[in-house]
Amino acid sequence: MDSYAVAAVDESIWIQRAKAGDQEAFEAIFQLYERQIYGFIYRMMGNAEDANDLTQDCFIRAYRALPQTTDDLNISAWLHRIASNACLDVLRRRQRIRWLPWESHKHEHLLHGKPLDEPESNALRNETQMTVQQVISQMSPRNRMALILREYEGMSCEEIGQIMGLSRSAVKSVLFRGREEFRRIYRAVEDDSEA
Amino acid sequence: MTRGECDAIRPLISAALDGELDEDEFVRLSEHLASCRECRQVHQDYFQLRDDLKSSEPPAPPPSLASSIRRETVEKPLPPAIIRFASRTGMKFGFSAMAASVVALIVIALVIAYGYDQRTPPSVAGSEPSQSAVMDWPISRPIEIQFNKQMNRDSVEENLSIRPSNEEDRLPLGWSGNTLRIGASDDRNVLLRPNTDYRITIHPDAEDRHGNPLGDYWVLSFRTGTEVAVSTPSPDRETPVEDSLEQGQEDDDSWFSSQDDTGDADEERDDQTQEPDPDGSRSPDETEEPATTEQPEQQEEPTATPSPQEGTGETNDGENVQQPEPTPTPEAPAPTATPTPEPEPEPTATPEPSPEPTASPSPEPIPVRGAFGEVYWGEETVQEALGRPTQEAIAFIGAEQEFQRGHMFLMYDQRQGRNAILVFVNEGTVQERDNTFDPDEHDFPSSEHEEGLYIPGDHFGKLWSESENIQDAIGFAVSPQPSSNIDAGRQQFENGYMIFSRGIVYVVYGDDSWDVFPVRSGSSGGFQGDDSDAIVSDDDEQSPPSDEEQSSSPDESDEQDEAAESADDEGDDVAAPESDGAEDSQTSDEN
Repeated sequence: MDSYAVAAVDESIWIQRAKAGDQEAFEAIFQLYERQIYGFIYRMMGNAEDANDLTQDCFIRAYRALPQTTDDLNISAWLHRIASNACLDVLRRRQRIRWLPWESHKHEHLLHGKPLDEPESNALRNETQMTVQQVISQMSPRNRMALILREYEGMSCEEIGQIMGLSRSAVKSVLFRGREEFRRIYRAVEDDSEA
Repeated sequence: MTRGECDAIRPLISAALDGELDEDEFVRLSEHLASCRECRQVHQDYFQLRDDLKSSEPPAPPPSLASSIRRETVEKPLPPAIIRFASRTGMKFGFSAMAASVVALIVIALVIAYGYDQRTPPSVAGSEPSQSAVMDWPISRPIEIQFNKQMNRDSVEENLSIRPSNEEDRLPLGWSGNTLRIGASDDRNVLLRPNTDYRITIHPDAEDRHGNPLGDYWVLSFRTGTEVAVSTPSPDRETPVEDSLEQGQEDDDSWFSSQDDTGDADEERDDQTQEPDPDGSRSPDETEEPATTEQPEQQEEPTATPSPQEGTGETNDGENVQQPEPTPTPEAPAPTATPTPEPEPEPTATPEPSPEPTASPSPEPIPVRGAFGEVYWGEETVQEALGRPTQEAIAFIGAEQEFQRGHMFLMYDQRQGRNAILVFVNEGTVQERDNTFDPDEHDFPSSEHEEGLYIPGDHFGKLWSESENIQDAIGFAVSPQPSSNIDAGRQQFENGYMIFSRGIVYVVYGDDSWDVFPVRSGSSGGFQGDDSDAIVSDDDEQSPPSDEEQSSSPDESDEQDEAAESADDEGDDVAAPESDGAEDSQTSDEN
């Protein structure tokens, strides 16, 4: 796609134009959110293949449905909601038989959020990340989704509620259970690795 | 601590990380954590989870993805929905309905697109004075804070605090577009106090007009100059500045009217001015000349040293407001119907208070930010007890191990060569010891003393084994191994220090007592925070932002909670009724 410099300040204009069928505007929105939605789906599904397919699916659905949305559309929440449902559709079809493993080896170089001084820190962080990915892949989709939206995407409980169709207090409850689940699985994984 | 109590507190631990606690809940949680090792561990686990998750970035989408999506969207014929929309809206033009809908919606978009997106969080784009340490800010210049987008003005003003605190009521607030002005409203300007340390804080709950919160504290600290930057008062205006400040500002309005960007204010001031600025070169302060005294053209802003000027008995630093009138000057006439001179040219954007005072530069302020800032600025007792920061926060590799009656904390700061062990005793004291363990020389293996109790090994093991006092104080370890933490931090203050580890701030006071504070917001950026939440301490009056009000009102129905519970059991669906979220709740009714 061509490059469009989309200032956040212009987003509402782009949305309105895209709703009116302006293809450039849709491309601009796509460029603005492609990486974020792809990252979200990747974290939900744990592999690049699903992330590719579902990101494409998400934006096609969005393109078709955009003209029918209301003027006060929260585009970020809306796209995440489409992406969430796309992920859950796939997971449901797979009947929760298995979860594809995270492709940690493919983005090992991205595991480090900040520079570290020491090799031992690197090693420790690497090891931790491997474990974290393993744990996430075993969590229930619902709890996983809430945690990803909160901790990765940095969304508030209210925003998560918009995406998941929950009240704020319900989101707090899901986040609590998600953290507990993560903690429980994390310990089990650690125990397994020590055994 | 009973199991029931812990069960009840754990959701609060989770909510604390989401910034969803109110004050009562926070106090309850803090008290519980101070006395419950297990819940403290849970808090740390949750916090560690956050750190672990955040440190991983997903890969970038492949370049081929964009082209494949384009093929399936914009390169395909427009979906029928648009045509349906056009027909529904009844547009009957000579060209196609689709084109008509596009034009119409673009027009609508231009009308309703008032500039700012709903998603991007608000922030402060700049300020006058700037956030770098400012000394001798002219007291006649209002403070200006410019936001990056339109704000909910009421929300900003509600979340604004000004120190000294009595200035909040005295200084008027005004808005010009996205800029908040403090000290100047539409109808009046008010002097700042001279020789005063100001701290302006905008709290994280300040919202833009879409309800997006600022998210972090924004703080501006500066010090005002000596006196008012006007040359002389009229004879009936010999009130010292300080006095006039105490009496209110109505009288001051005329002094500042030239700074007011409203036409009315200009006219008011011009009534008292004999000579308009011929070339617009004077600064706003300089234009505030009295009506009746011919004044040599001023070249400079006031300086700290008064220099009397011939023939006027005035100084150019404003001190003249307190001097007797050496030059006979006609009684200031009441404002007459003198024709208003030409409006003065707009003063230059930001007249600098030049020349800079010759005083020695102030030391660089030391920020207290992130998790440390949250506790330091949020807890006045902590602030008073610790005093001012003496150095910036430093990161170190840490390790912790829980004991029966306390815990041990290893601090290893490679850069500063610091290697120490802190022994926190639950009774409320802490000891700091050098870590003398050398893995090449020493062998202190961990071992189980009895079920669930361990003799610590390695670093902690050496200190523990060599000190009966410590053994008596904290008992046996309750886990076989310590947990490592590569993102711990420490900041030193005049009377103690703070330690940050996995979501908890330990405050150690000068008398070796300590307190524990869970970090409420999850503190993006950990103990380091980031520049946006940096709060610096550069004066004696360390005025904190007060605790932000955390909205915790359960504004949604219990039914939804129950739905969440049951849905959670089922496992895997957001509440959207359809799998295709595109036609969800944000779809217009008519569709």
